Amino acid sequence: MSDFLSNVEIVALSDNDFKIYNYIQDNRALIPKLKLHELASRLFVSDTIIIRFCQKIGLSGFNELKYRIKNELLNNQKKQSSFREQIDQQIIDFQHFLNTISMTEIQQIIKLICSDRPLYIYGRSLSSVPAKYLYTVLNSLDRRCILIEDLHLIKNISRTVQPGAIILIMSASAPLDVYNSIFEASRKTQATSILISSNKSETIHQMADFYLFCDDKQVYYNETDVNSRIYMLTLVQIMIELASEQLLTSTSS
Amino acid sequence: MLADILDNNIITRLNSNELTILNYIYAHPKEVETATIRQLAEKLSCSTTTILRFCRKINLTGYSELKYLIKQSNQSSSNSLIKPDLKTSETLSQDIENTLLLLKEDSINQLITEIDSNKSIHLYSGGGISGRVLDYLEKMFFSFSRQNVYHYEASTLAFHIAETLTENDILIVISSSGTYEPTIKMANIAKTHGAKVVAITPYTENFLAMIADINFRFFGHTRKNKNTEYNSRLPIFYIIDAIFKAYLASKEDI
Repeated sequence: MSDFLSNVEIVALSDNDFKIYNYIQDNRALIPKLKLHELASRLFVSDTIIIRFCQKIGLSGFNELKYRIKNELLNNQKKQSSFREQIDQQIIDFQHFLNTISMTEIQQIIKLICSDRPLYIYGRSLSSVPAKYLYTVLNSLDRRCILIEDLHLIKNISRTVQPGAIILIMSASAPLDVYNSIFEASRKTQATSILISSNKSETIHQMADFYLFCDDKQVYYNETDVNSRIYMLTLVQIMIELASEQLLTSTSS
Repeated sequence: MLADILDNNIITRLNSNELTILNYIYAHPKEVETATIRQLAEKLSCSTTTILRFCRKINLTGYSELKYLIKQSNQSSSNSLIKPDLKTSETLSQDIENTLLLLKEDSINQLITEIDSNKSIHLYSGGGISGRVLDYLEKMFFSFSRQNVYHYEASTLAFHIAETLTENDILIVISSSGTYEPTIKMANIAKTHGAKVVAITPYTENFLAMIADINFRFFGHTRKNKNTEYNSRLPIFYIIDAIFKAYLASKEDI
């Protein structure tokens, strides 16, 4: 746990030093509160031996030892609380997201997904994960569908698809200039378009026949998109739950 | 609820009888809330002592404390009214919450250290739906500019690669049952060659979790459609999300 203590070369320590070392390891929280003499008397050694021990492990003296341990304890505390905060935040966000989902919209989409019209599921880069997940599970549920991970291909399909087909597009940012042509083309070919996106703009909502909002935040790391798509995945899972009930009851009857 | 007090150490210490108890409690919290210890023992066809021993093993003083905990969590879950008012979304959110609460900082930190090392990372799940989760993991690694990540779908190829692994390799496996033979075989080969094994498996007793060096466990229910399963992988997606959120935070600290 304590980094600089675990880096000490134990082999190089004498028996006495090793006892000191062990005591410090076991009572880390105590050390910053002790005076040099107090620690020495607890270990039944002289003050000098403690100081010599500190120097042996590469520190200037007892004060530096106290300072280092105090710092590490503080850091550990900070790390721990920030991790718990992260988890709590994740749970709160998840609950909040569940509450914002529009069930009427989802039910309509489920009806489409459970119909026997041809279904194309599209997603690229990180959004291809929820797309592929939905595609794999739907196939496991005996609902045949087609996965498209290529933008040009989905553009082509939206122009040439047979009337009544369903095109489900998953895109976190859903830039209008990229997807506009797909929605327009699918309207001409009388296909039904569904968009799942975290784009908040009203214009893009009206472009698609059905729209589901997922509240994923844009996150970048080294200028690369690392948006987790976790709510997109959550939506997909909810769709799967609802669709599976319908799909499995319809096949059994 | 229970996830607060359970961690991987405790789960692996439970024997199969005790895991059945845990399973039952997890699946029927409402029933357990009102049942006496004798009623529960009858339901599970075990003795009351077994249940008591189970309570002690998960660090509770006894059956009343277990009941108290369950009652509390039942109350809190009925308080948070979930709008898509279906039992499916209730179980969904229960699974996610418990999975997230079960995550231990130590395991995440250990994994982050491995991610920061220059070891090669190998991903294997035997394809299927879990393979899609690995797609996600793989894409996230690359997006976080972690290179040397290799993803295998075909078992024969994966076994072949596993033979060449060394202590400079990490194998990450995902199994929604924890009992899928090829994945266990893969983990075993990797381990005998000194590679570190990271496993994401369910909270139920499974061999993969026993042999893995770093464990992540999730809650969920098994569901089948004839020969195939469609268990929800959402809890695993949330684990991965939590890992990368922590990873991002660790980078921002520097």
